[in-house]
Amino acid sequence: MKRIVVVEDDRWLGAHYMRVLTRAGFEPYLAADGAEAIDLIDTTVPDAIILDILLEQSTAPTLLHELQSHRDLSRIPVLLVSNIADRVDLGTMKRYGVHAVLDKATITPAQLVGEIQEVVA
Amino acid sequence: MVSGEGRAEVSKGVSLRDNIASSSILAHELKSPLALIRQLTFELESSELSLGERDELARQIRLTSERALRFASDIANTGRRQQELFNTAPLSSSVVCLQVVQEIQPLYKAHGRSFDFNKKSRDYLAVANPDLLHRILMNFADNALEYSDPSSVVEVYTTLLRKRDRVRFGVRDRTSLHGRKNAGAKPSQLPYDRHGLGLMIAQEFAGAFGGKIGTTRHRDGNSFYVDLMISKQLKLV
Repeated sequence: MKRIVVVEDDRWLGAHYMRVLTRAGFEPYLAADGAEAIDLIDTTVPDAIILDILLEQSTAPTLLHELQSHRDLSRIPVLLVSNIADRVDLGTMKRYGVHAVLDKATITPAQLVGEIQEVVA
Repeated sequence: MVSGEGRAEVSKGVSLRDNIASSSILAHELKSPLALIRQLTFELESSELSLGERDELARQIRLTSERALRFASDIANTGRRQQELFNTAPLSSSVVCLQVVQEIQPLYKAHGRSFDFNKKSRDYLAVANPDLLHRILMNFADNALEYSDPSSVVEVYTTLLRKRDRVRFGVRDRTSLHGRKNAGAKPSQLPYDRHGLGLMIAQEFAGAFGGKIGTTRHRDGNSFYVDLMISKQLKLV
């Protein structure tokens, strides 16, 4: 079973992602902020990460920098999910292991699962 | 803007319209709860939910939409403020605070958190517009829920200022160092870019009746407050 770490500080949205991923046959883990995410990623070594851009006390780029500094973790594909997806340049983020930038306002659960399946295939 | 002691005051005379000239900022603030509502409705369509889970999702959708409506309503009121003169009256600080507790508590409970009236707060008579003061404190409470450490305790409080001519209404989040989720991390670091819009709205409201908005950064959390003139009626008591 593929392991997915979800980093989302909105508790209800995080729980929603967890239900969607569980139903799709993944083994999801939820972290509410960057520090918790690092611990979780370190212990679970997931197959992919779903990452909110604006996190309390840290931001996605901080976490991505941290991941890049560890050889084993830097290879984990990341999907950015955010309300400011239109302001994020995927070209720039690709060097940090970001495979796609998804807009929270328009994405459906099926699309989220599809994107995850694509990066863990 | 932030002094060495961690205090900050929202700049006087800066109009909301100047600061949020771009309507995209407002749109973004509303996008967040609307996106959440949309995702939760997808969940409601799932056939695998129990009746209890459906009820819980419906409650989350209602509370999130109420929060978005409060924000939209505040924006509408800041626009109207230019044309209207808001009436002020002497208000019991305890009554105001308890009304805020009553209104915001369901949202806090739904997030597994608590919001209370500080028991050490005494009752004062402050001069303010009741509706606007209520909205200011609700705004602080909404901010605290969103940006404070999830393990923190949040309270609304009142205190008499040193010259005894003003009373402070504030919302304070307090995280025990032991309970803090990220040991070693600072408590919510007043990220003004994220708190800013709510504070500016609060400043617009407070300006309507001579109030002053400010923040204090504590070792274990933050306070967002509004200072108001104390009612002269107090001297007659």
